[in-house]
Amino acid sequence: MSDPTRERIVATFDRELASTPLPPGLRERTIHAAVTAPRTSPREPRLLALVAAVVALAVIATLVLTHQQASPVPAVKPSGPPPPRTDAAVTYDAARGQLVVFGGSTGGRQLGDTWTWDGKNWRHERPPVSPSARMSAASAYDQVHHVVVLFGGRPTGGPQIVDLSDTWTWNGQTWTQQHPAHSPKLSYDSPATMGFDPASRSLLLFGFAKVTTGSSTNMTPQTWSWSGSDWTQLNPPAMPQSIGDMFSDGRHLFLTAPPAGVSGAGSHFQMSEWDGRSWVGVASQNVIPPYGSGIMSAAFDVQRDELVVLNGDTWTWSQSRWRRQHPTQQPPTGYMMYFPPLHEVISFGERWGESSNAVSGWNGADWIVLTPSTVPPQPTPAGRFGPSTPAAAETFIRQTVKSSSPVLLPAWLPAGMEASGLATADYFDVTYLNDQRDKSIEVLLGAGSPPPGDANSSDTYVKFRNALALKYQRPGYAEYFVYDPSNPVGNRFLTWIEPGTMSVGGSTSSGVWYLVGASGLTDQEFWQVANSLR
Amino acid sequence: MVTTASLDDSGLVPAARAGDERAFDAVVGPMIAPGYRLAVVLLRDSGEAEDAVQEACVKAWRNLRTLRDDAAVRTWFLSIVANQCRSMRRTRWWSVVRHGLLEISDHARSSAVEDELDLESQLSRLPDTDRAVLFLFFYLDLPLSEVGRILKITPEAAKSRVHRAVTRLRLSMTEVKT
Repeated sequence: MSDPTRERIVATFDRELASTPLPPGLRERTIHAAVTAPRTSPREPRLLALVAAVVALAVIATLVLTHQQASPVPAVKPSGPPPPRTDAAVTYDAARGQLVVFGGSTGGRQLGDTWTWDGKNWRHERPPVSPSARMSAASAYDQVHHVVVLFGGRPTGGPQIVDLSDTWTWNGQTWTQQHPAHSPKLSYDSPATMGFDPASRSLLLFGFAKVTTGSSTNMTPQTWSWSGSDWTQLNPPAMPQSIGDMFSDGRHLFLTAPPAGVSGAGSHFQMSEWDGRSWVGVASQNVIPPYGSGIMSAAFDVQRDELVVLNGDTWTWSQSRWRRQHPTQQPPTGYMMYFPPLHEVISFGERWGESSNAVSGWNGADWIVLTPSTVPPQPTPAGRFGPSTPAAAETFIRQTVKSSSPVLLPAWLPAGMEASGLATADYFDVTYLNDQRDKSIEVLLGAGSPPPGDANSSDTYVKFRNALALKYQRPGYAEYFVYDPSNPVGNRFLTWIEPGTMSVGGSTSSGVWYLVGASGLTDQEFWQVANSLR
Repeated sequence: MVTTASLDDSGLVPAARAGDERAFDAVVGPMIAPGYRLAVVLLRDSGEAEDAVQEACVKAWRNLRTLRDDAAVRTWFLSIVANQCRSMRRTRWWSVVRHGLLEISDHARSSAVEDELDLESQLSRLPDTDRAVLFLFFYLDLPLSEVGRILKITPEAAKSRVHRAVTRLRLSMTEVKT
């Protein structure tokens, strides 16, 4: 590596980070907050006592039964819930009526443990043979061979990281490694997904392989079918360009997917159906939920004949129509599946986080906690607010932001918006969302930088307020960026320097950077918001 | 409370596991600053970065018993921070730079200064994952194998991303050592 390159990049990061210096006392506050946080839930002693009592009863019952019968009866040994985990393989095992959880990561450590949940109790399985610890393995229940199939994943414990391509099956008692003649070689830069197609009675795997041609490497989608003993690559004429979840409505197999690439043109959730030969896009009658932060989970509610989606909110999809639900308690985006013994969709833990190991069930109108989390809730960080009314948010922001002036907030917003965000002495960032989540507005102190990659984007300078001069521009102009001008409600933002003072890290400078960004608003609506800033 | 006064470095992790705040501070405390900077690079927001580091620290405290290699604290903690950032990443489709850094336009800037500002602009427009590999590889000077473990990608993928990001920045690159 040439030293000048390193030096320039380091110097650039230095300048960038100089604007966000280490907050004074962060180390002391962070360490103290951590060590005063309970390592186990206050509920756990009672839970352990309960578990101990149950185990004792089970042992006594076993002894009695053993005394009365010739053959021993295995003791049921329920345990507490598994540690919260991200990137685990979670599947419903129909043959045994259990949820099966394998691997993932917790606290930075990769896991190779197996847990089952029968609708009431967790059990830490201790099979004689297990796959190695890994994250992001794909798994699904094979309705033909009545086993859970697990494929691949990524271990991150060793000095060299190699994407796995091994295949395992779970029969309720142990894992068995399969030795197929062919195996997909998929990259877990985009974790693969697996599901059973009831129409063709086959297990399908969808993922991306790295294909190198000359000096370039591309991620190529691949679809594979599992016969029970070998993998066969299929060659569908059309395939999604990104991966979400597979789910089945009992008749067909579907694949959800976020938009591929940069989502600046509007981030829409996509769905494809496997027609036995190819992936076919599924049309929807209304606006589909925004894909949001890229975190979502989905399962089909066979009882109610609708898809249930978690993405920070709860959504259902039936008869080609999306509906936002309003549960009294919103679980994190967990591992979701339909759980036939309870006749409802359940969500376990947090799929890309470790905030919970609870199991919640969807009763068609609300989420009900079936087994509580043993992870203590995190306190709300200082300065966070919402969701609240825009008026309440404005009051909080104006009372909190004292070191940067002026504080500009919109006097006009589209109807039905709720506000949430962060406000500190010298900074604020507020996001307004409507109920259907198809309109969002963000106002913050800062400068925007458009995403790369779209040649049609419009980046212009427009006369706005009494803005101070931007780079290469005269005073009185703001930068107006529209990601896709052909989309009347596409993403856009406006950034400028407002006359005033701004304090960052204890030093005060003149001029306050502002940004107003929006998705789902028409140009007219956007400017109505921007021109109402007071 | 166990005192750390008599503990050498090899005893710090066990003492921290046992609940010693000072030992935990000695083990994880030095990682707070690089963890915060990594979070700023990934989240581009100091408030969210602070939240991410605080949550990562709580997870580190709760999961210290799972740390198998006491010498690998840096990789372990930064991987928790990176994972926390991933789960916190907001819905923004633009990147935001809070500053300070973007000072008021000065038409009298030298071309060298303009070049550096352009580099800042290009760096701010890179995808978060590319920014993260550049930060870990160049700024923290970590080997690619460690960069890979923190970001849960292969060293080859880390190397490839460094090359790609440097190319996007239109800088020269002669060699990347694993």
